[in-house]
Amino acid sequence: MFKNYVKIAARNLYKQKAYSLINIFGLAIAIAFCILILLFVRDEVTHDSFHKKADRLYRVIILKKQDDGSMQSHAMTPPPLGPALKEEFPEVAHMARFKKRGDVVVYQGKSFRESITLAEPDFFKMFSFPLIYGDPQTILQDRNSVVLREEVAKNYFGDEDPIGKILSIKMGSRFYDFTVSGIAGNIPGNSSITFDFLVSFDRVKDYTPASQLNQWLGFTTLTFIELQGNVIAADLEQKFPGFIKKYMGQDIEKYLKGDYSAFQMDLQPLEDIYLNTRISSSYQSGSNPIYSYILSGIAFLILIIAAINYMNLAIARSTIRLREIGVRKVLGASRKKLMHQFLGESLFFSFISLSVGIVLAELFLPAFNNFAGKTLSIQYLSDWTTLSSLVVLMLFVGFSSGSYPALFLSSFRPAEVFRSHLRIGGKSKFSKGLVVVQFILSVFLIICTLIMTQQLSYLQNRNLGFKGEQVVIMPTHGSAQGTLLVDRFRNELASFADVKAVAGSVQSLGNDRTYIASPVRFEKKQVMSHYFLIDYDFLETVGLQIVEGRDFLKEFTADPKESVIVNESLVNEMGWDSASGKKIKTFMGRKDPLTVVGVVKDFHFESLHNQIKPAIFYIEPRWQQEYIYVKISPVNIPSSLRLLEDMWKKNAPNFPFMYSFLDDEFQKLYRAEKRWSTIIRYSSFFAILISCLGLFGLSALSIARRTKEIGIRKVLGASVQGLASMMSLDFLKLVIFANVLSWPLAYYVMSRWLRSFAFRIDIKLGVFLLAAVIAAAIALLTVGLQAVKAAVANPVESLRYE
Amino acid sequence: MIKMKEITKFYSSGFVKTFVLRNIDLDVKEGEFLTIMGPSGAGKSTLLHILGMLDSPSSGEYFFYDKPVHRLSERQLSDLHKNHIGFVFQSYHLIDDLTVYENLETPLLYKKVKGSERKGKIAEMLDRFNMVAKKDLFPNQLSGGQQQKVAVARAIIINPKLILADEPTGNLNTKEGTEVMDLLKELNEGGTTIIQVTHSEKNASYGRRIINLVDGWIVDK
Ligand SMILES: Nc1ncnc2c1ncn2[C@@H]1O[C@H](COP(=O)(O)OP(=O)(O)O)[C@@H](O)[C@H]1O
Ligand SMILES: [Mg+2]
Repeated sequence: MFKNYVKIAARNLYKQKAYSLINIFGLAIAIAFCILILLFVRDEVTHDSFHKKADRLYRVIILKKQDDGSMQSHAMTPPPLGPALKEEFPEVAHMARFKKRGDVVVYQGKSFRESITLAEPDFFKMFSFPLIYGDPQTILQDRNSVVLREEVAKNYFGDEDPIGKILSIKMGSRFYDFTVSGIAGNIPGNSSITFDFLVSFDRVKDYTPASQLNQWLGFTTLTFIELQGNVIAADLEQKFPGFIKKYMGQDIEKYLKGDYSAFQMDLQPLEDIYLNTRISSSYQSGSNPIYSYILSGIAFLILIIAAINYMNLAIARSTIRLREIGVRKVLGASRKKLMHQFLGESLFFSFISLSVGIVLAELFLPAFNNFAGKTLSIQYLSDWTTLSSLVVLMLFVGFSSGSYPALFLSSFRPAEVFRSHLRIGGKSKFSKGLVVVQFILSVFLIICTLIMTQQLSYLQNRNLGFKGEQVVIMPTHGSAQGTLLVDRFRNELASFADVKAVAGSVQSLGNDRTYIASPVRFEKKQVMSHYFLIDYDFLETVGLQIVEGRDFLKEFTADPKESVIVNESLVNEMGWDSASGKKIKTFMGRKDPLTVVGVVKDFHFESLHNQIKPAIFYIEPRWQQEYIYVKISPVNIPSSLRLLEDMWKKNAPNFPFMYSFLDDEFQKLYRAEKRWSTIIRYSSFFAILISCLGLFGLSALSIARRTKEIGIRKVLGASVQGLASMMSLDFLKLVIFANVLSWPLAYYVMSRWLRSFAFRIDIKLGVFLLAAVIAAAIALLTVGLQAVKAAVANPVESLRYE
Repeated sequence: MIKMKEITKFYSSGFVKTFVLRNIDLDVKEGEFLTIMGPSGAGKSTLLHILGMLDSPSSGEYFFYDKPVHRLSERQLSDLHKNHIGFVFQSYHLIDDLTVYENLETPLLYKKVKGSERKGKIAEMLDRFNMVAKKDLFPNQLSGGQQQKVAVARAIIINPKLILADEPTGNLNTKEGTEVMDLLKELNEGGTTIIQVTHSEKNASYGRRIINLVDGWIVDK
C-alpha cells in the first residue's frame, strides 16, 4: 500500500511540476530564511556563553552620576581597581585587567598596524580560549613574551614554526622585542573578547606614567573577575559602597566635595555584555537585541505564512483529487486509509521542502554572513536542537496541511463526490484574511525598504560642508615624529601638481574616538565644545570655508600660541554678533585666553544622527600630529597614491603605510544602518515572494472552483478580458485593503527610526503609493496569469463532464 | 440477498424537501440480473449508490444478506462493500495517476491480499481481458472501451457477490458496449448478481427483470 502512495505522490509531483515546484520552493525558501535568522539570533543570544565558567565571569562596571542626577554606566574602570578587588575580597577567585591599543609591529623590516591586547596572567585561567601552544598558567607572566592568534601567526610566519620568533612591537613611543611563546586557537565568532597579539598587562607601564596607573579617577581599563563557585554576585555588590569609600574616598573628598553618590560599582555578567547597549564601552561593539526580536518576528511570520500557503495549495490540489478519493472509497478504502495516504503525502512533500530549504540555507549562508558581519555555520550533528526543531516544524506543516484533505475530504460519501455538486473551500474568509495579513507584512517591508534606502542615499549625498572625495588621511601611528613627518610631506609634495594641499591634525575627522570634548568659557558663559588640534592649511586641505576673519597663517607668529578659530555653532551658542577678537578660555592646560581670529562655516564632523555641535580649532605645538591630510587632484589618483606611499617609505620606514579617504571615513558611520537596510530589503523580497505564492494558491483554488462558471459565461459570450479582470479584481481588493492597514504601521515605525537622525528625509505620500503600486502589480501578475489562462480555456473542456 | 423496505431519499435545501426516492420496496435474489430503467433524474443512480452503500437512505430499511445496512457503522459498511460489491460507472472512474496494473491492484491492497496472490489475480485478469500488453499504460492512454474493460476487471477482481453498473455503456460505441454487456452476462452466468442502470432496451434485454423508476417511484409497466 505504502508503495502505492509513494507512487501517487511522486507522479503527482511530476505531473503537476509547476504546482509542486512552487509549493515546495515556497516552503523551502521560508525554511531557509528561518534557518538563517535562527542562526543569527542564536549567535546573538549565546554570545560569550562558550566559556566554561561563563556563569561565574563578570565585568566590573562603574556608574557615574550625570549632571541631571541620573547614573550612566561605563565599562572602563580605574587601573588600580582590579588588584584592589582581588586583595580585598576572598570571593574573587581570579581577576584580569584588559586593555587594547592599536600600534605598530615590525618583522623582518616590514611594519604593520596591529591591535595589541594587554591582559593579566589569570586571563587564560578564567576564559576558555584554547591555547594550541603554551602553558596557560604562566604564559602571560613573562613581560617579553607575546601570544599570537593562530591565523595571525600564519600571516607572519607562514608554515614556519612561530615559537621563539622575535617581533618588534611599539609600545607608546618605543619599540620593544617580544618572543612568540604561545599560540592561541581561533576565537569563536560570538566572543566579545577578541585578540590578535596578547602581551602581559605589565607592559602598560611602557606607555603610561605610574601616577596614572594608580589614579582612581581615571577610567581607562577593563576589569574582569571570576567569582568563587558559591558566591552570589549580588552579595558581593553589597560590599562595594564600603570598598569605594575605602579606596576612592580620598579623591572623592578632594575633587567631588565628598559626594559619595558620584560613583557606584556593579558586576555585569559576561554573557550580558554583548546585547547590553546601555553600557558605553569599549573595544567591541555590542548589538541591540531589538534587532534579534524584530528579525525573529519577521522570520516567524514568513514561516507561518509559508506554512499556511502550503496548506492552501495542498487544499487546492486535493480538491482536484476529489474523484480519486471517491474511487478509492468505492474500491474499499476506509477513511483511516485515506487519511494515512493524504497525511503521508503531505509529510513527504514537507520533508522535501525541508531538504531543499537546508540546501538553500547553505547556499545563501556565505552571502548572509557577509552582510550580517558574522561567521555562522550550520552544525547538523552537534546541534541537535536546530535539526530537531526543524523536523518538528516540518511535522507540524505536514500534518496541518495534510489534515484538511485527510479529515474533511475523506469524510465525503463517494456518491456526493461523483455528483460534483460539491463546493470546497468554505473557509474562504480565513483564506482571504490570510492574504491580507501577508500583504500587510509585505507592504510594510516594502515601505521600510523604500524609506531606509531614501534616508541612506540622503546621508550619502548630503553636503557635509567639506569635500571628502580627494582627501587622503594617513595615520602616523603615534609616531614621536608625527609633526616632523607632516612637515616633510608638505615640503616634498609642494612641487607635485597633483597634490593640492597637505596638513596635519591630532583628530581624524569622522572617527569620534579621536575627538575631545571639553568646555569653552567666554566671560560668564560656558559651552561644551569639540576641540580640533590642527595645523596650518588644515581648513584648506579639507575644504572648509572661512565665513569671518581668517585662517591660521605663518606670518602671524602668535597664532600657535594664542589664536583660535571657532565654528558657527559656537558663535550661535555664545550669542555673539561678531566673533573676531573675542577672548575665550579653554581647559586643556594651555595658556589662556585664546583670541578668536576666524569663524569656519558649520560642517558635519559627526554622523548625521547628531546636530552640528560647537567646535574650536587651534594649533597645539606640544602635541604630535596623529594624521596627515593630503588633498589630491581628482585625476591620476592611483599615481598620487603611489607617490604618497613612496614618500612614506622614505620618511617613515618603520611604520606601515595606511590610508583612507575622508568621505569613506564618514560612510563608515552608517555601517549598522546599511546592514539593517539590507536585511530589511531581503526580508521584504521574501515576504513578497511568499505572499505571492499564497495568492497563487488561493486564486488557483477559487478559479478551479469557478471553472464551470467560467465555461458557461464564455458560452454566453463573455470576453477573455472581462473574465480575467472579474477574477483578478477580487484579489486586488484584498491587496488594497492590506495597504490601508499597513500604511499607519509603517509610518509609525519609520518615523521612529528616522527620529534617530538629526538630519533626515520627510516621509512622503509617494512612498506609500509606490509600495501600493508594487504590491498591486505583483499581485495582479500572480492572479492575472491564472485568470487569463482559465478564461482562455475552451469552455467545452470545462463543461464536458457536466 | 437484498431486501429494501420503504426506502426514501430526499435532499433538503432550506425548507424545501426534494424527494429523489419514495417508498422503494425491492427484493433481489442471489444470481439475478436486474435492470433499472427510467428517465434522467428519476433517481436511478441514487438508488444504485444506496444499494452499493456509497450513500445512505433518509429513511427505510435495507438488508444485505440479512445484515441491517441502515444500522451498520461506517467501518462495517466499508468492510461489507469492499468484500462483496463491485462498481462500474458510466465515466469509468479509474485513478488517473495509476497504471492499469496498479488500478487493478488497488482494491486488493485495500482487502489486504498477500503479494503473490495479488500478482496471480492481476495476471489472471489481464489475461482474461486481453490487456497484458497494456498493463503499464495510464488510463488516458486507453480508449473508452478499454478503460471500461479495466473498470469491469477492477470491479470483479475481488470476486464480488454483487456488481452494480451505472450506465456502463453510456460513453462507449456499439461494439465496445456489446463487449462490456457480454462480459456482464458471462459473469452473471457464473453466479454473480448484477444490477445495472441503462437507457437502452437492447442492454435491458440482457437482464431477466426490469424495474422502472419515475420520479422516485417504482412503477409497473
Ligand atoms: N446531493 C444532491 N443534492 C441535491 N439534489 C440531488 C443530489 N444528488 C442528487 N440530487 C437530485 O436527485 C435527483 C436524482 O438524481 P440521480 O439519481 O442522479 O438521477 P438519474 O441517475 O436517474 O439520472 C436529481 O433530480 C438530482 O438533481
Ligand atoms: Mg444517473
